[in-house]
Amino acid sequence: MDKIALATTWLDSCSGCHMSLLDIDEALIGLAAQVEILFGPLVDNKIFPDHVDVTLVEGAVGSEADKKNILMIRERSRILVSFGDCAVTANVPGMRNRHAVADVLARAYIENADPAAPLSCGAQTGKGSIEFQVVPALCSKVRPVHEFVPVDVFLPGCPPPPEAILYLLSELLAGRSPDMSGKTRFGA
Amino acid sequence: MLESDPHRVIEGMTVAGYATGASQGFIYVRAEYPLAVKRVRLALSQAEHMGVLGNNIFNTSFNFTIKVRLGAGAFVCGEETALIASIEGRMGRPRPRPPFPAEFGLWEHPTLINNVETFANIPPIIRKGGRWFAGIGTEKSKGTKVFALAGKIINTGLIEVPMGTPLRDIVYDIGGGIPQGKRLKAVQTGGPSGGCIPERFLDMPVDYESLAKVGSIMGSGGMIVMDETSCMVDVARFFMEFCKSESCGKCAPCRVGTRQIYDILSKITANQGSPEDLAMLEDLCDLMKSTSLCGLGQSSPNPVLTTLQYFREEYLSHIHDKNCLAGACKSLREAK
Amino acid sequence: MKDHSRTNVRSDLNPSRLLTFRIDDRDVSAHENESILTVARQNGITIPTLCHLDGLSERGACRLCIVEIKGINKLLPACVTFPRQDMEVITASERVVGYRKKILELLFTERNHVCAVCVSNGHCELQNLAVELGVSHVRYPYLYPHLAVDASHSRFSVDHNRCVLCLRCVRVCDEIEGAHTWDIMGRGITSQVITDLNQPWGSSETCTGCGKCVQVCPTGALSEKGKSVAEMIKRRQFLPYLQMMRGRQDTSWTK
Repeated sequence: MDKIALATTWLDSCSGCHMSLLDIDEALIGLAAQVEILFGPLVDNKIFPDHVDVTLVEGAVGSEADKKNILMIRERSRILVSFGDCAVTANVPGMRNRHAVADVLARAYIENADPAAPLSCGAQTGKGSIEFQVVPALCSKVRPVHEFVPVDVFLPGCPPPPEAILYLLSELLAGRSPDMSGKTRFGA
Repeated sequence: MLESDPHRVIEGMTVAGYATGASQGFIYVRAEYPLAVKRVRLALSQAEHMGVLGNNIFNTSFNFTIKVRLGAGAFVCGEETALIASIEGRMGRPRPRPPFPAEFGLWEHPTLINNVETFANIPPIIRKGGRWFAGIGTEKSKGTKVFALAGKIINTGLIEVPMGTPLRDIVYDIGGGIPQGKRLKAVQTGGPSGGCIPERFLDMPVDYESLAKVGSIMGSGGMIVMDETSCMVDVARFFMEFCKSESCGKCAPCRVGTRQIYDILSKITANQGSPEDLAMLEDLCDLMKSTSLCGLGQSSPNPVLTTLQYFREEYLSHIHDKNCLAGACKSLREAK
Repeated sequence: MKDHSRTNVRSDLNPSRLLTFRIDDRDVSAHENESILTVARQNGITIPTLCHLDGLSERGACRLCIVEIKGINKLLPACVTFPRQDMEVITASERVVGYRKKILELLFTERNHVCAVCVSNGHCELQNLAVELGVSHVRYPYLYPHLAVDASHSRFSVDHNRCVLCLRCVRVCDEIEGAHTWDIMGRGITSQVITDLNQPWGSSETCTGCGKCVQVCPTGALSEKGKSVAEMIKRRQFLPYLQMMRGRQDTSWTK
């Protein structure tokens, strides 16, 4: 049987869901026989393939790069899974939505900057603005994945328990639409 | 009615009090109508002076007094249980019914609660007989109705017509037609939560059943005329903004639903809507109609639903072509 | 709203005021003063609720307990609707369950419910309702309002981002404690629960510090200080007993 093409990615998130995926421990071995991970933080390939069967998307959409990526990922994935609370509800990254982006950046990188640290890249402490030169610009609001693209399966949890992730993947591998009710919940 | 013929209302209430065994009446008036308040208070003191209000009216054992109570700016206090709460000094929020006020009303007493217009109908009916009244109007909607004619119409103001009068007669004969020779587009009846009736239904009779059939309501008798320069999506947005700010906030479907619907309509009129928005609008409208606690929430989707039904092309133009067919939205935004 | 006696049974024919009706095609019996919700629970039928709490007056506000009643075209909340003889109630039709999910989803969008960092994570009625109703995601856009935390009280704090406006705090403080420290200000979506005249809780002159509001709050909006994520477990078993003791006529045995 051909292996299922799997991709994983993380957008605005902490990578905890990926850690939970790895926490399925020895079941990874069984999974490896049926699944080939073609892209993501866990593998070397950093170019998203033209087509994958399943993509696990961890994290909320919080930057212009996230927006571009999620649209591309949706086009190239047969099944897209919103993986974890950040992807499903915006969760903790969404907590910055009450503030303007400029205020968030000023707080994080200027007000909280260590004045004794050596300056680099022309950054000036105590002065107003931060320019986006290489790092993607932040969206005014962090939003869940399904507000940008249709999502096939939702897997809430922070992180979703390894058993739920394993169940999800096993069901998808068996060609069934997974019924996740009772397996996980928001904040699990 | 309170400004021009308050004694009719007082008489109607007194008769109703006599018929039901009540001894106390209240007239709840919006504080924004100081002339009505002044005149009804004057009429009440005149009635008391004449002995038609107070104790032992006409030397019988019947006692009846009427007091005036002022509102404080809440549209929701037009809902009967919210009105009762307001008179009791509590927050003007509706409560679930049953039990209805006739069983459990003001200070938990059985209470008869009706519109001013309803009570004003009583003295002529008593004097001229029920058959006379039933001779006016249609088979199911008897008598006359007062409408507040407003909007893009030459003669604005309050009118009284027999039930069943064709909408065309009201707009053109009484209203004088549309100013500046513009084309009639729609008439909204019933107030902020009434439906918008398109021009092609202009020959319909104005009565309870006919209005319900086209998705509108009689409501408070509001009648707003719109012409070709009105964007129906913006009309829906405008009324949903009103309902959102007047929602009492007690039940989640209305409290959050009005805001969600308003946000979507704002997005659409700003030419940032997407095709999925229409399905979400219909979904939220159905939810509010079916699960809201009171009439405000249940009827606030009416402008949205009727404009989606009769003026869908305007929504689609905003969404797909990023264009306002009436040419109204761009200038409205620039004016802000 | 005070419970008042029902008069839909003829007490001359039925002095015990019992009646029979059907819930989900099952025959059940009830006293005329028992709501459909009470009778359903007595018979092991679960109807989801949020603003309801045993021991507090009913509001019929959250609209989660709405049920279908044959012959009535409106959906009515089970907590404030009383049965009539031979009434037929359907508690979980596809239509009603669909509406309940949507209402719950609207609640999630209204404020900022971030389970991962909440003291009530794992012990939260809003979370439990999502599990019970099978809500895995919210289809409506989140509103992300800007709401405050008031931690001025020495023992408790209120995080308005987690409040669902069930008004249990208002009711318990008024009906059981009698202090009426909590009330509500604003209208519609600007509604907010407040202490005294919208003054900081810590400076409240009416609050007795009893903590009942914290215990009855279904989410992490009201919590005890010193509790970290997922540590706020509420204790509200006392409530029906307090309500009973408040309403009792006979106080002779304390003398």
